[in-house]
Parts: sequence; C-alpha cells; structure tokens
Amino acid sequence: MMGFPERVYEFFERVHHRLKEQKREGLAILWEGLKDAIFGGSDKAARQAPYIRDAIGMQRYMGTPLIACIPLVIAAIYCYGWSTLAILLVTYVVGGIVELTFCAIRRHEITEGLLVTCMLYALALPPTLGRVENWWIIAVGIAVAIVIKEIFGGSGYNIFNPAITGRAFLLLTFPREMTVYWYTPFNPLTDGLGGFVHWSPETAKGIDAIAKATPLGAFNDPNLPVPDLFTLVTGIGRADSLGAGFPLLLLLGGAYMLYTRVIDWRVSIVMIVTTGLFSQFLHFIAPTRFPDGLFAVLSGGLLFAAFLNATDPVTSPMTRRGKWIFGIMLGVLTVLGRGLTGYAEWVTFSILIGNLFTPLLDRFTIPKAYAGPAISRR
Amino acid sequence: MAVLGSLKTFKGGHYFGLFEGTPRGKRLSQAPLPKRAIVFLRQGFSAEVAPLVQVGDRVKTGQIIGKNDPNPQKPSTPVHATISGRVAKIEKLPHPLDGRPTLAVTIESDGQDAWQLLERPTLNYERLSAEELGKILYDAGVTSGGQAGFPTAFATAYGTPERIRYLVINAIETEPYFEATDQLLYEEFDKFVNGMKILRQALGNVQVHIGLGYNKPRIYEELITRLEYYDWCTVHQLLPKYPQGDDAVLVRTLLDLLVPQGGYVTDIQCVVQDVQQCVAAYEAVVEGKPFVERVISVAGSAVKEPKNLRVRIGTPISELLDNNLSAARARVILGSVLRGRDQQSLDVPVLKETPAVIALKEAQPELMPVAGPGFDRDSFTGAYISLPWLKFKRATTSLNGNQRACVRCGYCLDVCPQNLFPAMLGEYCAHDLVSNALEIDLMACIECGLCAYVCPSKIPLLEQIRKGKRQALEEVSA
Ligand code: SF4
Ligand code: SF4
Repeated sequence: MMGFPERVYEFFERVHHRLKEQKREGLAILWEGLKDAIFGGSDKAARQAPYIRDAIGMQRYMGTPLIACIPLVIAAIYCYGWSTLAILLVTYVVGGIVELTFCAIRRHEITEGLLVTCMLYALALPPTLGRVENWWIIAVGIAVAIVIKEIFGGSGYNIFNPAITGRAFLLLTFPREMTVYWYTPFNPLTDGLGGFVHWSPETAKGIDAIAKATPLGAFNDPNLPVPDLFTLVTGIGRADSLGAGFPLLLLLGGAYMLYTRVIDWRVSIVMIVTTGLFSQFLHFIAPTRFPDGLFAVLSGGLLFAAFLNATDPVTSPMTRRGKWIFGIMLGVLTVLGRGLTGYAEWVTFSILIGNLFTPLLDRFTIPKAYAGPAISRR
Repeated sequence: MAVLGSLKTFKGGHYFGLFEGTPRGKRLSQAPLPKRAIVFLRQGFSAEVAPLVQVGDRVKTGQIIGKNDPNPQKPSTPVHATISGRVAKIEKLPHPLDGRPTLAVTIESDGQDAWQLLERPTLNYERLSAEELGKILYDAGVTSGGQAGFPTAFATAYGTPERIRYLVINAIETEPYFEATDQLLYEEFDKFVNGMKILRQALGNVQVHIGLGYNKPRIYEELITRLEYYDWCTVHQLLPKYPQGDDAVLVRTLLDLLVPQGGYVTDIQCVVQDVQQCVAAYEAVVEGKPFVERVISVAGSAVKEPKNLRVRIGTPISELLDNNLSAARARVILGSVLRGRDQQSLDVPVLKETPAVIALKEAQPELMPVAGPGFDRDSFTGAYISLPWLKFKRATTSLNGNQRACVRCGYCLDVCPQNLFPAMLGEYCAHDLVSNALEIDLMACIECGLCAYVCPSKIPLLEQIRKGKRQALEEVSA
C-alpha cells in the first residue's frame, strides 16, 4: 500500500539511480535538486540525536524573505508597469542558468539562496533597466554576482552578499544606466490602474515619465527640489529603485521577517537607528552635506538594504555582539560615505565593506561560556 | 519562612510544543511483571560493578547482584535483581546508551516476585544519622541517580557529603514526552516531600532549593504550605523551557553557580536529584525497598496508546511496546529524543536513568511539505504558524529539510543554554581540530542537542560535538 507521494518519490529515485549508473553525474545532481525541491527534505531521516528536528528547513528559511518581498513586487508592478516583471524574469532565468551550470559542473547541491539573491538583486535595480535594450545589463550583473559567489565556494562560503556584489559591479561598470535615468512612478491618486495596464511609465506617458533623480540624488544636487515627507513615506510619486521606494511596505516586510526570526534586529534595527541618529548629529554640523535623520533613513534604499541585504545570514556575523558592531558599522559608513562623497549609493558599498569584516567580527566576539574554568579528572 | 516565589529562567533554550503521542495527564499505571529482566551492571552515574551471582542462582527481588568496593576514583552503587527468579545469563552486551560492552545479568522470572527488603534500623528516619541514611541509600541503589550521583561515605559520586552545601531538587520536566516524573510528583507528593527531607538529612542538613515548573500552581501552593516552617528550603518557580532540567543549567539558574567545564555539580558543592530519586529514597528508607522500579513514559507518534507506567528496571522494551506500535516503520529511542539513542533491537532494557521509551514515526516523503501555514509544526522560528488550540505537534524522525552548508544564521548561538558557539564547535570537531574546539569551551557543552534541533541547514552539530568531546577525553587519558 503506497500513497501518491511515495510513488512519485520512487520514480525520482529510480531515475536518479539510472543517471548514476550511466555516469551522468551532472544531470544526476540537477535531478536530485529537483527531487529535494519537491520533497523539501521530508524524506531524509535523522541518523543520530536529536531525533526530532525543527520544522524550519532551508526552503522555508529562504522563502521568508521572498514572502516579505511579495508586496514590494506588486507595488513595483503598479508603479513601473509590467517591465518590472521582465526585469525579474531576466534575473531569474540568467541567474538560474548560471547557478545550475555551476552546480552541474562542480557537483554541489543546488541551494535555495539563489531565489533570494535574484529577488533582492532585481528589486534594487532602477526601473529604467526594464527597457528592452538594457536587459543585457541585468543579465551581466546577475551572472557576475553568481560567478563571484561560486569563486568563493558557493552558498554558505561566499564572503560578499551576491546581490550586493552584482549591484556594485553594475554601479561601477554602467554608472549612467544605474544612476541617471529614473521613472516617475504611476500615481495611485491620479493614474487609476497605473502599471497594471501598462508596460512602463515611459510607454504610457513618454518623456514626461523620466525623472531626474531619486530623493537622495535630489538632496545631493543643489539644483533639484527635495521631495516632501509625504512622498518619501508613502512612495507615491517617488522615483527610486524598483523595490526601495516603499518604506511602509518595507517596514511591513521587515516586521514579518523579524517576527519569524529570519533576520535579527541587532543588524537591521541597529543599522537603521545608527544611520538616523548619526546623520541627525552631523546634520547639525553640516546641514548641506548631511540630511536630517529621518530623511537619511527613508531615502537611498536604506530600509531596503537594512532589512534585506545587510541581514543576509551568510555575510553578516553570527554572534550577538558581532551583530551589534556590524549594524553600527554599516550605519556609520553609510552616513559618512553619502555625506562626504555626495554619492547616493553608499549603502551598497558600506555593506560590501561590512561583509569584509564579518569573519573577523565573529572571531573576536566568540561568546564566553557559562561555565567555570576547566578541570580534569586525572 | 524562606520560601519565596520568583519566576526564574535562563538565556537561550527553547519552549517545545506538545508533540503527538504525549501522555500528558495520564495517571501512572502498573506495568505487568516482565517475564525476564536484563539488568546491566552499569546503571546511572555508577561505574560498572562486579557480579555477585552466578548463572543458575535463585535471586529475590531487591537482592544485590553486583557491587564494587568503594573507590573514590570510580564511584559505584550496588545493582539489584529487579524480579525474583533464576539467573539465566551473565554476559557482555553493548550498553544501550553508549554501546560499550557491559556486563548484564538476565533473570528469568519465577512469577513470585518474592522480595528481599533492605536491612535497616526501623527507627523513624528523622532519628537516623547522616551515615546511617547514606548506608541505606547506598544499599538501595538510590545513589547512582542524577547526572552526577549522590554522595555518601561509600564513594557514590565525585565528592563527599561533607563538602556539599546545596541540595537542588529538579522538579521541572521540559523535555518532549517526559511526563511520567511530573505525574509521579502529583501522585506521590508525600513520598516526594519526605524523600527530599531524607536526602537532605543524608547530606548533613544542607540548604535545599527546589526548581518547580511555574505551570504547577497546585504543587507550588502545597509545597509552600508543607515547608512553610522550614528555613532550609526555597522553592523557585521556573519557566518550562528546555533544558531547564539539566544539572548545570538548573544550578546556574537557581544559585548562580557555574559548573566547571568537564566537571560535575558536585565540584561546586551541589547535588541535584529529581523527583524519582526523592521517591526512591523514601521507599528505601521507610519501606525498605531498593530502587528496582521507576516511572517511565511510553510515548511517541508511533505509539498507539501513550502511557505513564511504573516498570521494573531491566524490563525489555519489547514488553512495553508489543502490540502498541501504530506505524510499521518506527524509530525506538531509549530516553530523550534530543539526547538519547535509538535502538536497533527491542531487546534492550529500561535503565535506572530511563525516563521514557519513545517510538517515533519514520520520515515519509511528502509533496511540498514546506508550503502551507504549518499549524502542527514546532519551530524555534516564527516561520510556521503554530496554533495553540491545535494540540499536538507533528513528530517524526524527518529532518524537515535538506542538508546544506551552514548559512551562519546564528540560531544555534541563540538557543545554546551554555552560551557557546555551536556552529564553530561543530566545524572544528568535524575536522578533528579538537584543540581549537577546546579553546572555545568545548567541554562546557551539556549535549542538550538544541543546536542541532534548530539548525535550518540540518547540520548534525550534536553528533560532531560529541565526537570531539570523546576525542578530547581520550587524549586526556592517553
Ligand atoms: S553546543 Fe552543547 S550546550 Fe550548546 S546547544 Fe549545542 S548541545 Fe546544547
Ligand atoms: S544553526 Fe546551523 S546554519 Fe545556523 S549558524 Fe548554526 S550551524 Fe550554521
């Protein structure tokens, strides 16, 4: 008597066995990956104590940030049209192909982290990359991100957050496409169905849809008006990266991830608060260079990065003290970088720098055991 | 009155849900006498003892069948026949908990259950001296209990009664499926209180600290009323978080004392005993019965009818599980699901330190198990919605995930009750870098298993750490 899942499982096992027999190792790995994705590890049993294990597995763990991103994706589609989806698709297809190739060649398992990497990478891109002539840029960025991750040994061993690596690569290689052109998003107060019925703001409104700068870019450029608080908070009419312009939705997603413990407040909240306080402090000294705390937090993808990029478990410290230091470091670096260079993308670089320090932070913040000095019985 | 109510807990740990097949609130029932008892000559904290009987000898229930001379380097406690009958076999068998070959005496029951009670002064126990009580407890085999033994003049723990300052009573059960000792507390409350007094007296009237789960207000009230006039007793209410019942964690929570790495609670002048030990002490001193019977839970998701039982030590678990398994493929575990050991054969006996026999359903392939809200799943994270009114959490041996490289999520650090760095410890131990692991306090690990429980990458951290600890101990003794 075998149920349906068992029969499917049997089938997967048989084919896997066959592939192994024919020495098609690469294919066997991919097939195994598919099986693991479908059965989610429910078939694997604990060999030794503990015999029951937490229900959380890598699928659900990595699924949580994806769930937190769903509102962002919907909002982005509304604001920037279906070209948003094109950006996501290009990212996933190219990212998937590159990763699977590596898995097949290097014979390691396919990991769920890829899905998150692609999502975070895509949502941090400017919407104008959705133009068909720019798609290849998206592809190059994600390919580079994954190649660099694999150079370090694949998921779990990478020093730099892959989504951020890809983004940094694009910022340095394609500065114009990445920082100059923005769309003014569809406005729910005036545009009705907005992006749900359009390909992009450009196809709907033509040249009017092109915006000059993101809020932070506007702050750094004395010729541009700085958007008001309403725009900043609600994201209505706010030109920004695909997913970074919706502080309310980011807070919602962040709260969900904090609740599920998938991210730690010691990184995310500490980074946000540090940025706010430090920027506010410097604002008193040099108001033209440093925005006030609230503006610093709400602009330039800080919330997005604090909740979704900085908290990437692989590239942030594990220890509690390490997390504190990491969060503070990121906040300070971001504020200083932005203010002193006038370059709006410093969140990205501060995370890269922070990633570099992560192994060091872990090493120097090993917690002290709750135990007395060792004794030996002999 | 020194009885005070304070809600205490420790950092780290995990609140387990109630898993399927937990005999919560089931009254203790008497298991039938086994037809055959397998009594290992190493029980509890005690070292292996030499047999005093030969094949063919007739023994009575409670008769001492194995004993060593007192040796402070190798604390030991006598072992008793747990049923009356004939000694059928004396042979080396792998010990169910660590697999080391250990002498075991197999007794075939004669169905009589004729007892041999302890020889003891029949005074009221309050008039007995600490030495006399220590002798009775030693003879009764009570002293091998707990994770560190109970010190008497007969070298039954690393430490002597004179050096002990605190008796800590562990009356909190936080492990999944361990229900029997809780039940014992309800049903034998008088014996428990008197047993506690006996143990205290045997240690020379030390201070007593009781750690009680806060979810037992009735017991708490009763204890307060009973012990109101004693200034030697403090009752602490504790949050039911695993592993609160562990010696090191309990002592730290109640008394703020740190157990040395690689040491026992006796090294910091404490003794920890649980409810079963208190009851056994009472039965030994007042009723003259050696410690041959204990309470256990027969539980788990693969068990048809979970029960709390009084069973003879040495009862083969096949007698407890026969006709009671609901799944064709079940994993049988002696002791805890978090730190115990699974058994290939059902021919292994209940030991003195076995609070439960657990049978879990084996892992079954499921389609897309991670989709869905997961109302019946227990998790340290909030990723699944655990509904309190859906009473039982699913319990199988499934890893619930594929094995991956460490994603450095830090959950293992968050749950570790000893504030260790399990991810790094596991990594070192897996690569045989034991000296590095020792530098980051390997020996402070109490092997609670939580780090491996929560790991979303399903890394066998406990397995790796145990291997490292074994290697470290071998290096010391080599
Ligand atoms: S390292 Fe040891 S004490 Fe810490 S959680 Fe793991 S098993 Fe428990
Ligand atoms: S719980 Fe597992 S994945 Fe997370 S840090 Fe510890 S070992 Fe790594």
